[in-house]
Amino acid sequence: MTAVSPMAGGGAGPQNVFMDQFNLEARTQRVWDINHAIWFTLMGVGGGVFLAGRILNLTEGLGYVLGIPTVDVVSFLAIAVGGAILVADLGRPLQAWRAFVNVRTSWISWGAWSDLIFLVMAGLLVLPALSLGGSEPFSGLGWDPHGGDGGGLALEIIAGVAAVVVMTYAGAVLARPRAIPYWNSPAVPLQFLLSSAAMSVAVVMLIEVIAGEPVTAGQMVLLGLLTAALTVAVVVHLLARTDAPGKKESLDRLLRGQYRSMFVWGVFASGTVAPAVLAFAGAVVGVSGARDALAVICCVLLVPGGFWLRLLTLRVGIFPPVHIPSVSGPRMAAP
Amino acid sequence: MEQLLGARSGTAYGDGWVRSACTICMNRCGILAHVNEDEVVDKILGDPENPHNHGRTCAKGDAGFEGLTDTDRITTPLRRTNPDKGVGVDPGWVPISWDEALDEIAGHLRDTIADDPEKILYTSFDIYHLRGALAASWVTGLGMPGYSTWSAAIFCGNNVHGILYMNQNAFESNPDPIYSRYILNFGAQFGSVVHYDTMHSTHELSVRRSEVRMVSVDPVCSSAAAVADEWVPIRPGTDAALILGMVDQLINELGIYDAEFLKNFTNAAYLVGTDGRYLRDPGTGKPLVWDEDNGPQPFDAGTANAALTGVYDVDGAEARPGFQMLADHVRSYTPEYVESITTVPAATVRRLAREFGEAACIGETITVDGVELPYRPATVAWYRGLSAHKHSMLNGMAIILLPTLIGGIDVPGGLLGDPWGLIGKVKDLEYTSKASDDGLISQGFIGGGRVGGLYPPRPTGPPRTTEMWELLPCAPYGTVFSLLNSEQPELFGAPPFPSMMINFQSNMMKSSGPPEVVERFIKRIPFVAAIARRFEETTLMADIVLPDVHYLERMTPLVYQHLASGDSRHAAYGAKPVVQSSIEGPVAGEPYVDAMQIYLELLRRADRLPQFNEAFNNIAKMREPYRLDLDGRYSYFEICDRWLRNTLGDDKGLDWHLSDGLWTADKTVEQKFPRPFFDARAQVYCEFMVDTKVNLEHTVEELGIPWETDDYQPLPDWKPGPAYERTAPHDLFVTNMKVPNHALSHTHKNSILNTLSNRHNDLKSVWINPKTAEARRISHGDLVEIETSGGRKQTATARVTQLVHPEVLATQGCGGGWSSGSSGDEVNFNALLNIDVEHIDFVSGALDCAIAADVRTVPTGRGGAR
Amino acid sequence: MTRWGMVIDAARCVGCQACTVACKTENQSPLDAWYAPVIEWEEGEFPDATLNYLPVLCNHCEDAPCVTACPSGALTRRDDGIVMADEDVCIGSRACMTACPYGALHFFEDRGTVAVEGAPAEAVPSVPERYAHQRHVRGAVSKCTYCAHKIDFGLENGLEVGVHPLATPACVVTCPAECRIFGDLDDPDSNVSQYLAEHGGGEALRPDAKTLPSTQYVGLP
Repeated sequence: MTAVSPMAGGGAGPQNVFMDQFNLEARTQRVWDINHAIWFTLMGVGGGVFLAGRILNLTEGLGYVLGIPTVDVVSFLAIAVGGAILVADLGRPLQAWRAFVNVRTSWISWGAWSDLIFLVMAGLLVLPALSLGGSEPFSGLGWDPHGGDGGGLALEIIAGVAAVVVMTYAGAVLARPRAIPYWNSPAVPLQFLLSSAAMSVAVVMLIEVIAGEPVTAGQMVLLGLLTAALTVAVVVHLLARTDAPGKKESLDRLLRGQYRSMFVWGVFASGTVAPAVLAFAGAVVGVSGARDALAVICCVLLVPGGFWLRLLTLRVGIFPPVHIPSVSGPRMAAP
Repeated sequence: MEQLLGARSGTAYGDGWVRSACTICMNRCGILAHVNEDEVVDKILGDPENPHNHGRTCAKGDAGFEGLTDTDRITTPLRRTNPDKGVGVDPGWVPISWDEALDEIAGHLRDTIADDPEKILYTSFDIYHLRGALAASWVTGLGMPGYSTWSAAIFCGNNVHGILYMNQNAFESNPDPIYSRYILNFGAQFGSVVHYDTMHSTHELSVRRSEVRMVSVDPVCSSAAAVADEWVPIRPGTDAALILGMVDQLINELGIYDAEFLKNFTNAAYLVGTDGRYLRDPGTGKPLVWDEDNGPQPFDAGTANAALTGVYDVDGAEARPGFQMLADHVRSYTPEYVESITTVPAATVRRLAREFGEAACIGETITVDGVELPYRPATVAWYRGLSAHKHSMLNGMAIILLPTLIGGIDVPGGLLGDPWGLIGKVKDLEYTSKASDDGLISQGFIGGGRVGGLYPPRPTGPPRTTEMWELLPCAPYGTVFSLLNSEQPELFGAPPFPSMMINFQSNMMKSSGPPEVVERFIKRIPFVAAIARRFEETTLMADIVLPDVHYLERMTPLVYQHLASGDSRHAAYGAKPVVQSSIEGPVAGEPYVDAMQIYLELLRRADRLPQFNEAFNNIAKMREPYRLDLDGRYSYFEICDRWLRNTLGDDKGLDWHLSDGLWTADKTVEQKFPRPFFDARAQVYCEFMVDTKVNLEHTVEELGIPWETDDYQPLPDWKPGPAYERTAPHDLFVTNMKVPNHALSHTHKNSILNTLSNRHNDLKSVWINPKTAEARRISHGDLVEIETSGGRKQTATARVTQLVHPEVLATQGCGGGWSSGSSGDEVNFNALLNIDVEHIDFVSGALDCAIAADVRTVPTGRGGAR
Repeated sequence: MTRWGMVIDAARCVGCQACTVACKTENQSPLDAWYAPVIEWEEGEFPDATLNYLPVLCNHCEDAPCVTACPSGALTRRDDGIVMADEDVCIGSRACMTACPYGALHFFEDRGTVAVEGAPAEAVPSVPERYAHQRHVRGAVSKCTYCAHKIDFGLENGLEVGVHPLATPACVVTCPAECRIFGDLDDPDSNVSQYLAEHGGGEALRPDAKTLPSTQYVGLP
């Protein structure tokens, strides 16, 4: 019989990111990991698909589930599942409602509100179209579920704005504090927004292909522009403040260390550059079947790429040492 | 008992706070422990009114309450049913009554006393009992010469206590933390929280840190070296060469020494003949000195100008002052020679000597309490680092020369002594020593009932126990010879082996020698009783186990009697129950507060109470009306009451102890800095060694046993230890060091400290210099195996670090354990030790702890072998 | 106004970890959470090598990023400058932990640390663990509060904060090297202000984070 020390087995990480380590090294954050990467991705796709469906005017005609457009169903499911993971990952899920409290300064509170507002507003918006066993119990609600009248449009705009926040806030949560230099940059929420948008357009195109509708060259141009912008955002972020304590270690980890191949190939090459190239290629290719195939490939590359982008961003979140010693020599005072 | 719990409101800190004492290390800091509404001790503060620790506690003391309510406490006497004993063997404990247990142990005591009381082995390093009269009286009452402080007795004070008694009438000594300005640590960690007088010293030094230069000579950058101004890495076991090199520089190159002090307060001027003995006055037999004007004179003839140097003709005999003998003797320790031995650069040897000598401010004075005193603000600290070596006593004789040469003993800035052995005389303490016929300090010391010391040496004779005390006339302990005699019974003609052992607060299976060696020793003892709070490695070897109380449940008066010199206040205080133990004790109806209650019951049942009472009266220096009647039967509480009143005054009995319990007083300047106020002399030339060697050689020749006597010499030398000449692959030294936040003995099951150490110290690690690691293709974090030249092994993880000498593998503390609650997998340094003639110092009884070793990576999948 | 602050003279620290443990027992923090450890690092090459010590704890920042990031309002900054964590309000998002440059926030994740292998499930091995579970909320974040409960106790009972052992943070009380001083940074005559003045002001850790800490350092290596 031996007391189980928390260190025994070594499986679990420390409860704290680096104070428990008793040394001065730069510390990788281990607070948030794969669960957060999943819900970051799902939120991005969820908000994005709702918007993309509307911007590309593809809500109708791509199939319905219970009378609700497939695109919107995908959006709601992504947000709902993402939200569930978010809540489950809290230390005290039953207290999740308190996440709404600190809207004054907390991006997580903004995120909570935006998720809620989005789900409520977008849900209300499509509610009149809900078809259960042949009847449409909410058809009497006084607005057009396609946003064709004032009420519907208002709901659509509010939901759309909320969706933009949903797509962005995870990045903003990371970017606001100065603690982790790699995160502390507008490039992070920008990457998350662009990645979400690109993933969403690709997902919508996938739904389009599944529904047997042809992907248009314009859609491919849009996808190409988004992925190209994402590529630029990633590159700019990699090139900024490369010598800053903490950021340097993050870049080492990404470009030279353990995450090199996952980042270079999974995120950068196949998650941003390749989809951009394929999307522009799809825009100029004359054969619609080939374009559809390229769109599907883009989607298959982009969604995992977006997930890896978020996961690696979390995993290379490194706190620099709390103190950088000012002198190089030890306290030796030999006369 | 109402009285016991009443103590809880006796402090100025409101309800729930109880003043007591810490028992985790020798410092015994005063504490305030807090009891919460659940009757649980939940925190410990340093006692702010206590001048010993100034309200401070260390990490260990802060976490001391841990284990108090543990579920694995022993709550009833237990009997072993499995006759097989050993590591990993289930003892098959069954509960028995106190009566049955006590009667059986008392029966063994009675039988053994009838045979030979010295065949009782009482092993304990209980901090509360060590300095008091209680346990010493218990063993004396049994007819034993004293008790065995295992663990520390093998590793700690072998070259400390005797040396200090010889030159400063003290059991322990420390640098003056207030007035000292230059402190040389030799393998010690003074100034860090890993030493004696630690809280007081750390506090005082921190306040004036920028004014004090601290230098650590150590194979490892220990926690003290880390906060020192300079770390001087040194090859293990070679400190004596560096010290003698510094002595050579001070005397022969720089001419820095306190001539007045040496003439008047040491034997440096005593004339020594070509046979190494003093030249004596034919009439009085007194040692002679050479008066520059009047020629040879008895040392006490009031000679104003005794020569320290020169060669003289005394009635045709060639004579030199002891100081001249020393000066000639150290001349061979040139800086270059010292460098070749120690790896300390010759320039550093010269610089350290000059720094030390110049910092000593020889000739300067300082006024303390209106009295002008010598001011010698340079000093040294050493304990186990110099002590745990083959030539331990020579190391001790070397190091004491540094403070002696500069007159830096018990004066402001110097080495301050703590004249232990004056139990019961707190209020009218004598710091001074009466001089021997030769004018020398000759107090001797009492430890655990034994009188021991270096000077005067004890008479030699046939050994009466396995500790061979009678063949160690200058040693404070002989404990390690018990293990040697157990391993090689015929080597010394099989001296009497213990018939029984009582073990209390000494986990010798883990903390003395290699477990398998100690296991064989204990297995040979026919009957073993242990008193323990939880099952420890040694408890598991017992035939009968009695439950013990946690230190926060104990009531033991006078565990601290601060008698040390130095500019601080006196203090005396003890332990009192912070909570009352729920365990039924040996005496029905009496709260169980101390193992002494067991001893009193055993003495009664073995018909030895009169002997105990007499011993207590003597050892505690009891006066009327407090003396115990020899035929009386006293409860533990009554004895404590009398002892307290006798020691601190009639108004300070048990009630006072339980309601207040802290006695402090100002010191006189004579008590602060006693050296200038008495005339008994310290020794520079240990002339007594000459005849001690002759007598001892005569005794062992008569006994027909081999014995080493080469180190009985009047002046110290550096001699190579067994690991000095190392051959590949065992061409490294493995050593260990203390850490400030874990004792790994008393605290080895403390979950707070174990968790902290896992995070912070990584006690599973071995420190390896990068050069060494590279040569052996070891990377940081590798699982490695340490193998000694004796074939003993430990696995560890490699910490590749610049903080260790390239020839050294450094481990921390002494971890590892197999009893429940042990964290278990730290490196057990003691498991690497060699118990053989080559590693034991036959003068001091020390065991060499610098072991020749190899280190290599463990092939994957083969870790964990211990 | 009062702004409680701590000055740490790193040059005095002896690396004994007394503060680390005193903090743990005073605050009964979860067994593997250390609110106030002493961190250490090696410097130089043998033989000119040494080990440096640096006590760290919550910096009680004026612009506290943990308070900013906290969605639930569990983290607040009192009027006297102490940043508090209300574990009953905390939802365990750990946003504060990623926002704090000092790693001063500790998530009490129950990973079975109370269990003793082979012992009955109800067996609680030690006082510290039992009280950690009573005093702290699993799934919530806890932190150094400058021992706010002691400060408040001192103010209520007329004890001098920063001096009396019951009105002073545990790490300050226990420190044998006296490398920590606690007092009112807003009072120019206070012990902390005076010490800072004597030493030419204090330094913040991670000055790039611009958090305006109330924990100030002197004698940084």
